[in-house]
Amino acid sequence: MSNLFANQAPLLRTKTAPAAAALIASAGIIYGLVLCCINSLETFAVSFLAVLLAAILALWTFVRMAVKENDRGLLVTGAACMTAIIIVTVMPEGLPASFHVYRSFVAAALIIGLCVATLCSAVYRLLGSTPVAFDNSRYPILILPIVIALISYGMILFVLCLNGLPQISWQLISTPYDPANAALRGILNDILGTFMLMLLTSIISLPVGVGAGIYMSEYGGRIAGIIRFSTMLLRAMPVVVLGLAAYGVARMAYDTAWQGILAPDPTIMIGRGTFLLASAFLSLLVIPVITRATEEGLRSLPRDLREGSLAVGATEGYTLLHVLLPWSLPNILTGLLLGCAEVAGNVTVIVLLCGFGNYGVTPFTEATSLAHFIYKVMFADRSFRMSMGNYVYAVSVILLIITLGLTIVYLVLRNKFAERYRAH
Amino acid sequence: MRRSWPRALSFMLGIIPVLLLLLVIGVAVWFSSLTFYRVGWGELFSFYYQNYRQGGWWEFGLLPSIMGTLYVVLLALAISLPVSLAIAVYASEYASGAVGRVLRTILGTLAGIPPIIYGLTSFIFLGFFVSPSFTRVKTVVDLAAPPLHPILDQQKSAILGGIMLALMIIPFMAPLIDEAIRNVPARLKEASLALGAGKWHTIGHIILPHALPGIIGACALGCFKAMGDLIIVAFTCRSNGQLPQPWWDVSNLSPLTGTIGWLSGILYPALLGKNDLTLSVSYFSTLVLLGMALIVLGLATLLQRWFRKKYTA
Amino acid sequence: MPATVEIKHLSVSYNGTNVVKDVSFEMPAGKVTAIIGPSGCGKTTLLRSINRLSELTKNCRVQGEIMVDGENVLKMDTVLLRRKVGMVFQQPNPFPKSIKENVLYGIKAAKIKTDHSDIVKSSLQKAVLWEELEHRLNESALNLSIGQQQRLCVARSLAITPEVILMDEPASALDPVSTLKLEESIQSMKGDVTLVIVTHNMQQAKRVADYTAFIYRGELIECNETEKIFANPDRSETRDYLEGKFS
Ligand SMILES: Nc1ncnc2c1ncn2[C@@H]1O[C@H](COP(=O)(O)OP(=O)(O)OP(=O)(O)O)[C@@H](O)[C@H]1O
Ligand SMILES: [Mg+2]
Repeated sequence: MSNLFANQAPLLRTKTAPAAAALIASAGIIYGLVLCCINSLETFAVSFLAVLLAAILALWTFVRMAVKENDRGLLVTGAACMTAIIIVTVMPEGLPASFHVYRSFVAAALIIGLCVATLCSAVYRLLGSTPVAFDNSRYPILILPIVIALISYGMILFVLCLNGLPQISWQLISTPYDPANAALRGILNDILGTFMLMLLTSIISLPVGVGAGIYMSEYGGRIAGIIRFSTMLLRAMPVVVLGLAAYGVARMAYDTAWQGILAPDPTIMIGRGTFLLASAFLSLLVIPVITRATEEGLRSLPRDLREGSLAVGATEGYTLLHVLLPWSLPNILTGLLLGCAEVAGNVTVIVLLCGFGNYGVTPFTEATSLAHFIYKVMFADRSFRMSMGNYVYAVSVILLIITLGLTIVYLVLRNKFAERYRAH
Repeated sequence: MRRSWPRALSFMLGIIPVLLLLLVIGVAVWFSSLTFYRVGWGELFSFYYQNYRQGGWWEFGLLPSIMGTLYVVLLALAISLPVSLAIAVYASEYASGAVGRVLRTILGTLAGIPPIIYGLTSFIFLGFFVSPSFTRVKTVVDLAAPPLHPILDQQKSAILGGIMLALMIIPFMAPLIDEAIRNVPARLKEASLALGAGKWHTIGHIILPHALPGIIGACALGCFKAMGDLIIVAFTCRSNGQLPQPWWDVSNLSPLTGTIGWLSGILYPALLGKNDLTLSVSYFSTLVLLGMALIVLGLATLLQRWFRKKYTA
Repeated sequence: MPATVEIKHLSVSYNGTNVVKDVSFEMPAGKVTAIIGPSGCGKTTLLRSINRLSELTKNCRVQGEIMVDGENVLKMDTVLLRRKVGMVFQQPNPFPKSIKENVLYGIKAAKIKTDHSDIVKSSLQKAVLWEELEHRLNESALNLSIGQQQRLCVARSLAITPEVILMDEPASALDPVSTLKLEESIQSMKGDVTLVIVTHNMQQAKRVADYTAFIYRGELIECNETEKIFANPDRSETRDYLEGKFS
């Protein structure tokens, strides 16, 4: 067999052409991003694309002469360039206005895509056209989306802190809210309510989730299948379904024996629910998380530990309490942390149940939470917006501190226990 | 069968989620019963949606909203899937150990941002896609003095909704894909590299196909989250439930959740507790949404099973 | 064209503990060199540092020189190196694709334009697999028996005309008949390609190898012509090992 690599193309020596191409492409990427942000720049897109096309064509002719390989990349780049120019120029003015939004979006997307492709090829040539250079030249494709996404998250956090941090004061945090009293304009109720929701949800979902997880992984059978199916459904359930169902239950609880437990005093609006009811429905979000954590923990239990316990004559209950649960406890607790973060931030489930929290924060009073504060300001109550609207960013920052704090603790603990649960 | 207390106890606890699930579905069916005999199926699954708030006359065609949900969710996936793939591939194949770990930690933390925060700050991204009436105006958003009202109705757009939903689901999808990539057997990767295939070729031809079940699972999760979200949609999409004018202007669509929010009074508190029929239709819409989620779940499970079978002996 | 592999003062360490210690020897072009030694002595490590797969292990450090065809491996482009130096693993690891795609994988990855059916045929013939699989080329490779899978892996690495093929205990998962077939295919490759084969089976080394190297605790004890090693080794450790006094 003769060597297949004998007549492969010689390596390109010159670096100026690809370096220039790389520069133009980088500029094009930045330009595309700016075009995304400021739509009116699209008028400049035409000239830019024309220059880009000319530059790319010129460079590539040069490169091709040097390399004597026919490059499919050239055709694709050229075609994309042409399409972008046509899209941006040919679009008549008379079309519905929103079409122009698409127009600049498409133009920006094409410019960015095109420039990333050019950048990749240029880097490939710059690095010497070797196969490893090819692998390394793909970095822009991976880095660019990551950078854009991280910038977006950064902007969100930045804007929140910019607007929220100056508003936070001890007075805001330590004063409860009462619509009837102008002196009481704080968010203490909401903070306490958030913690009350997390506490009650944990109390409800911990035993239920752990029980379901243990039953599924230890006993099996038809019922375990049903439980597994329903936790899967809960995981797939669109949250808004839970929200409306919670509201429905609160309405049905009026004038029944459940009134004091699920729905607060009837003088408050029909449909409002207590912390207990809100937590019961929020726990439907947390139960699947805990169930999975329990199952994972139990599955990673070393075989000999369990069999050893049963072999020395321990009863099933003893094994459960002294071997299974202690082993999977860290896993369950970290799962619970994640669930609590979700509970603190979720509005959709409790959106119709919550009020202002001015009747106190106990399991049987009207629910409220920090996340719901934002909803109230933005959608529900005009007078509330008048009095508390200025604090919406401060509340967001406090909410974010709680949820991000919980997720960070979760990450730290999980890394700590990762070794233990890796094998199964 | 021997009965022991752990078994009995875990059975009693484990059956609770099943009962709660039945309760949820039962309540939704109970409240939507009014819809079943006051609004016909033909009207529900038509394109005609009208609300005349004062006159109290309604028409409930849900198809525009269903279209809106499809559009918004697909847009969110179209944005979040490439980004999540890039993050996962970069973290597990390209980045050095430390950089990968930092990236994973950042994403893990971002998963804690509540949806309402994305909604509240969505005005930042208004500049990306100004709505029709602002088309020719350069939108410079004043970050230090944000609007105290939700984005104006004319400024809302399903594209903005798709972007914000994508940002919300990326921190959930990327770790799943990352895990799927790391679970690809090392022997296949080594075999590919030993045959002189480059890293990029190996990723495209061996690693990603093998991680496909995991990627599908991640997409399904993203779908469920984006489908059920009401609060981001409320901030970013027009929630009037009507077919957009002109019909192809998809940025004007309202997803099902927006319509639910409107009809149930979540986004239009004046309606809260006043109109039983609109409330009932919103319960019916949640059932429709649940059905869509079930279809996605079934499809995802089927595809996952199919690909697993294909890639293991 | 077969190439000579020269190893000069090679040391490999995991987390700072030396596993291969200052090994130097030569594997002549076109010949079969067997590497024998007790389990854990560093044979796999040695082999994986020749085609730089060792770089996939994060804590692995390689020092010294490895020359393939007079070129230092550590300075080469890894992809080009691995096209020159193929590898067959201990466990057969075919891709979950069709037999044909498995054979053509390297060709397609390298974007070489040649007659594909020719390559499939000649590679499978060299791996003594053509007669069995002639009519099943589009079936999934996962349906093959383990022995066939391993020979498919040999065919797969032959398809890109490597100069060297490294085999890490290629027969350890196979039954005697499959092992014989594999050896048959090794014989048919002799002269076209330099073969390095790690084995625990002394008889196999005797049957197929021209040269044999004995490694013990990371050090090269002896490397010589196979007949010489088996009949009359220079070092007493080698004799002890061959006589099964330790393992
Ligand atoms: N990734 C690794 N990290 C740390 N030590 C390793 C690693 N891989 C191998 N080792 C150690 O290096 C030594 C040599 O391993 P190697 O796999 O090369 O042995 P071997 O000769 O191939 O053995 P066998 O015949 O059983 O396959 C062993 O002691 C092993 O424990
Ligand atoms: Mg070995």
